[in-house]
Amino acid sequence: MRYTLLIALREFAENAKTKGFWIGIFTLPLLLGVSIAVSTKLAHSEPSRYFVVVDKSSAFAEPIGRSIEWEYQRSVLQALGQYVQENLRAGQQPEVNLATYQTAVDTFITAGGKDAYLPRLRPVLRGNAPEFKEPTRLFVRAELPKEIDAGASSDAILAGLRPYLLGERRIAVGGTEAPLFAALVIAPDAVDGATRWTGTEAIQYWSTNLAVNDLPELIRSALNAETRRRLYVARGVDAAKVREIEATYARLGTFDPGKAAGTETVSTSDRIARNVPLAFVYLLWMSIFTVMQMLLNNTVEEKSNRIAEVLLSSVTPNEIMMGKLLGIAGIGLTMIGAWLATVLIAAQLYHGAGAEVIGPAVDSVVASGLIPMFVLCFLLGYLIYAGLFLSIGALCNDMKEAQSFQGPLMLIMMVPLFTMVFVNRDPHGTLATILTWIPLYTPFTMMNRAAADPPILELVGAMLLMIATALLLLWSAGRIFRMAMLRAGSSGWRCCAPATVRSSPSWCSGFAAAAMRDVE
Amino acid sequence: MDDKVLELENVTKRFGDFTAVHGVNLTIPRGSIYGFLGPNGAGKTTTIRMIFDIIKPTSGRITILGASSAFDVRRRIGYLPEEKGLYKAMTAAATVAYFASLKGLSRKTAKQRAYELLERYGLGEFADTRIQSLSKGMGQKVQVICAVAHEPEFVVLDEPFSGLDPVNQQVLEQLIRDFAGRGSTVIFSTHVMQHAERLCDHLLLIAKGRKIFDGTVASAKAVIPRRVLISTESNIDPLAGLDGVAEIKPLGESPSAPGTKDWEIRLRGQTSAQTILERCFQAGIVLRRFDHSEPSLHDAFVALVGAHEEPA
Repeated sequence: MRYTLLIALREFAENAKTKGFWIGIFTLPLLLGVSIAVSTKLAHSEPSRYFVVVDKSSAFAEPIGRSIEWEYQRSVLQALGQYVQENLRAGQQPEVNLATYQTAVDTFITAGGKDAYLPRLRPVLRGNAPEFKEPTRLFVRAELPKEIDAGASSDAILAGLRPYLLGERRIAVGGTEAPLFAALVIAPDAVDGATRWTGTEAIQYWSTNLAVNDLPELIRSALNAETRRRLYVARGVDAAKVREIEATYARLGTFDPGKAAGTETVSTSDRIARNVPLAFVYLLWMSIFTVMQMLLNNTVEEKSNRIAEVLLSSVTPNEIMMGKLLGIAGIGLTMIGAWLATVLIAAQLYHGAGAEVIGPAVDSVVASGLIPMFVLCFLLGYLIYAGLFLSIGALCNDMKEAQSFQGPLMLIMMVPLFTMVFVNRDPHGTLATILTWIPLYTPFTMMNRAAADPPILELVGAMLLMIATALLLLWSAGRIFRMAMLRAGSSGWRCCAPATVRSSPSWCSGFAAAAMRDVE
Repeated sequence: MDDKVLELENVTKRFGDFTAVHGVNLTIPRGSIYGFLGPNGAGKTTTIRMIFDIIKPTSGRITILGASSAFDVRRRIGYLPEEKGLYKAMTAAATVAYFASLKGLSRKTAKQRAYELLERYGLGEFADTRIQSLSKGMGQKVQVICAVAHEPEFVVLDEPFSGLDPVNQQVLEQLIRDFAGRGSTVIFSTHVMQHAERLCDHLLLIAKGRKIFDGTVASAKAVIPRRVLISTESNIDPLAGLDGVAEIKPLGESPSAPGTKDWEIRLRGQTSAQTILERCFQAGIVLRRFDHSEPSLHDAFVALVGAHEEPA
């Protein structure tokens, strides 16, 4: 055992001392942090996009403008809510409603917007709170270029706008120039034509950008609302009352019978916690994949550097193999320990948007036993894949040779990544059940299903099968490792050996027979 | 204490139809420096691998330090394989300490010993340098130190001198002498006869998997008849009648002195070269050259291997 531990310690130290290991440890949380920061930053730094409206019906331009303004005020209220959350004095609560549902936004607009809310919020904010910064207006209506006659036909106006829409010319906006993002051309008969589904469209949206759907969606929703309002009025229905009624929502409580009595209500935290296994599956895959690379590299290094023969004069092939398994497992556990710790610490320190649900979600994950399950899945998955990768490493003389074996194995390893979302959505479905019973996929599938309480029989059965497979694979890896290690550094006798032993395609038959005679 | 550290009894190793080692018998006494000599592909490395139980003999028996498997006495033996390799990312000292601790030394003692030995054999300033930054020769010295750091009773060095410059070869020779001086037994294989001649008490010469000589360096040299080389213009018939002369062979005209002829006079038994010299004076043979140098191990090696390869 002492020698196994010595080998394990060396394996651990050698990998832990490499820059790659620490880069690997910090890259994941760093990427996570950077992607959150970048997406937040990008959300705040989206440029304003300019569009023109040519409304020959005089019916829609105004409601569209109102709708876009309403949407902007909603984003201001949302930013205000986040600003207050980040700068709230401890123990204080704002007296105004900062939620962003329809009536709350209506109240915000009626009250006078941010200028009215900010003075009322200041008493609950920290003294050193920075100034509130309004979000950028994403969509701004611009005037038609001067050379285009607004009274001309729709076709003539469109022809005039074409160079602007194609980016050949820029539109004048508040003393500067900007590209024209879109043009909305509304025909004179649009009030009736809007609901006509044959012939030419009475309302046309022109833009070269097909990726940004927010503006056409906003316009579509404004058009619908205005068309319906007109129909209500035409049929003698009070449109204001309709709007009021439409702002009413029915209440549906969501409950989980699996939760303790009295706490069955499903909260946002619960929903996050329900999806956490997906993150764990990814983490599990990443950690197993990373340590397998290390295991393979180290094994091939010992073969290609001819270290195996010196080792074999001191320790048994089994001691070498067990030492490697332990050392690299230590590396893997250190890595996932560092990742989990980073995520947990970051979640505790995070005070941005959604912090009020992230904190409880993390607490519920910690309390749910998913972390011990994750460690168990890692260890069993590690042993299974280590059996395969050790065999490959032992059979190959250099990395090039190893990579040709590694390719198909990597494809097999990708399956849990491709299927994890489906398994998470239907944790007791056919796919989940089948994958659970395939030992190569059991760790990932069980991890994915862990939060959905899989049947205990399936859990225990699959675990036992996984343990049995791991033992079988390790046992055969041990034999392959032993044979291959004895072959290591043996070009001396390999070159003397018969061709069947030397030629790699038939190594299995020729070599195995020869080597086993040596070993037994 | 058993005075034999290693005994091979009729050891044979076959790989399929190919016989790499053929019925080798060998006994190595404790405290000796034993040279394994032989041409390429003679079976030296295969024999060494069988000694260390890395590969099993097809037939025959090997006893090492009284045990039937080297593995049972692995803490008491050291091994430098022919194909050398080390962990490139480890430092020299860590490497020596690691292999010494795998041989049973405590980690503290192993570390201490590593620095001590690296210092003693000229690698002190590179002790904390990674192997990948060392020259090939330095790396090889580190590996030799790895093989002996745990102070084994018996060490086998397979081609320890290959790739070393003359200065480092001397350092290695010193290391082997130091080691043997403490009563340990050393086997080393080599192609360089000078090393064997300077270091070895005993030699094992194998060719094509068969033992063709096993004995002291002196007895190996004795295989070659003692001889005297002379150059003269005179008639050498008076020498032919001497009791101690076995044969006189003409070697042709001397290239250095035109008109003189070179002769090889093979001596019988313990006949002294002095006897030949005295007879030359008495018979008035005018000598341009009189050369009585001992045969080298190289000559013995060539003669022994050559004789073995000649068709019977």
